[in-house]
Amino acid sequence: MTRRTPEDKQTNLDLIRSSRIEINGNSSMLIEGRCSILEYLDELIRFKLGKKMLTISGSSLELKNVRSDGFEIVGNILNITFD
Amino acid sequence: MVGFYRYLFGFVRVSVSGIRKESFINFCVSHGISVWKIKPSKGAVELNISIDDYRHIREIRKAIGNDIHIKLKSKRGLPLKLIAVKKRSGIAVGIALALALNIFLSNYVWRVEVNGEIDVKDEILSSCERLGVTKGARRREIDTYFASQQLAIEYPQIAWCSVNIEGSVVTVNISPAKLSEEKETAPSNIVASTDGVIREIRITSGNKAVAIGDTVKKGQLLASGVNEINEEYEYIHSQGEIIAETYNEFKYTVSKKQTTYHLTGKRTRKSVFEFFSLKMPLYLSGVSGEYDTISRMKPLRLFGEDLPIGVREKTFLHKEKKRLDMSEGDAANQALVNLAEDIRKTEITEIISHTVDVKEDENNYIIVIRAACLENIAKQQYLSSVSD
Repeated sequence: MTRRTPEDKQTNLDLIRSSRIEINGNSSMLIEGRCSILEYLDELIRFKLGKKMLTISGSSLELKNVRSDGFEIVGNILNITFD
Repeated sequence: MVGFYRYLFGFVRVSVSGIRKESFINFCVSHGISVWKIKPSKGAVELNISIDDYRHIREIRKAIGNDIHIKLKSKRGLPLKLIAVKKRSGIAVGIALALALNIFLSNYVWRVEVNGEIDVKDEILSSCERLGVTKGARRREIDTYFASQQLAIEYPQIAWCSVNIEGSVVTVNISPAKLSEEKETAPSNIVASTDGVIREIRITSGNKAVAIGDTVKKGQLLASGVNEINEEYEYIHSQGEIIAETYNEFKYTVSKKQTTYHLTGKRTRKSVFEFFSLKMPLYLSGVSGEYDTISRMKPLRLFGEDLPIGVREKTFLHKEKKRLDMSEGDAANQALVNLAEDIRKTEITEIISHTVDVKEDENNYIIVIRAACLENIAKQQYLSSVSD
């Protein structure tokens, strides 16, 4: 088990403060907050959330709605990873 | 709703490709440019963008850098449809004509309905037609108040009537009158309506005051509605028929020279196109001479309803005028025909015997028919009117 450093805690706090993620089953997902797209493919969408990177993988992924305060993703979501 | 607005203002679908295609989306997001339905497709990203924003696409590309390629895939929305329509002026003219026609046609009556439990609906519709409340009449020319008043006067079966115009439909609402039964049960006597000799008595209610063979005068009591029981009086409604032999005189004047019409057998058919109150003959030459007309409307039908548009087929039955000199016998026969017609309106049930007396002046025959008849002479006399 790895011990969390104060730096990690601060980063997670920033993430929580700046972003909000809502997942409905595995078919849709809402990301609210300051974020930008790094990569967009059919099976993968990579976002930049503050200092973290959010990777969503699956199939038939689509950005249904894009607003200045967030994204709505639909499709078959299989994996969500923070890097 | 958002979809409707997007369609209303128009949008385009574009394909963005290149190394920095994601930057295009980020740029749109950060600059408040609305993009939606973003889908990756063959190494590119397809998305929808409003027409207004698409006008600035060059500036966007310039801001991001020339590493992206933007290709227009399709155009959608109402403004684009209107541009297409603009090029085809016929559609715009058609829409304008359809609207104008709609406004024009809504000024006319398309249907007349009679509502209410009444047996004489067809007669009421005929009366409505005479009063101008008919299919094809202009709505503003219909005097609903006058029509409802006239119908109420014309038909005693109607207690209350209203004529309403709802859109292009005229509704005649009728409340049937409930006939008062008061008179039918009110105490009454039966008296003679005329002089005569009693031949038959059919009293169903009341006390007989005459016998068969009696000679009675007009106004004489025939059946009484007063019963005396133990020095107390009971008043009842008298009912029945009293058939008497009466003597009547009928006088007719028949002109010596009569004009008659005979159908020649010749028929002419003409058609008239009717469009609401507008009538347009579909023939050039008119019909000359004397004729009777049979008219038959072939209306245009839509959804099972007759429209006030169609072709009226008129058949003209040609006839000839003939001057006829009447003999005494012809005049007497004519008078007897008139008599048969006239006695239908009276209480006379049978003519037992008659004599015909013919006199003449310069132009006419004067026929006097004296007839012995069988006639119902029973007449109700209400006891309240007796005491008054």
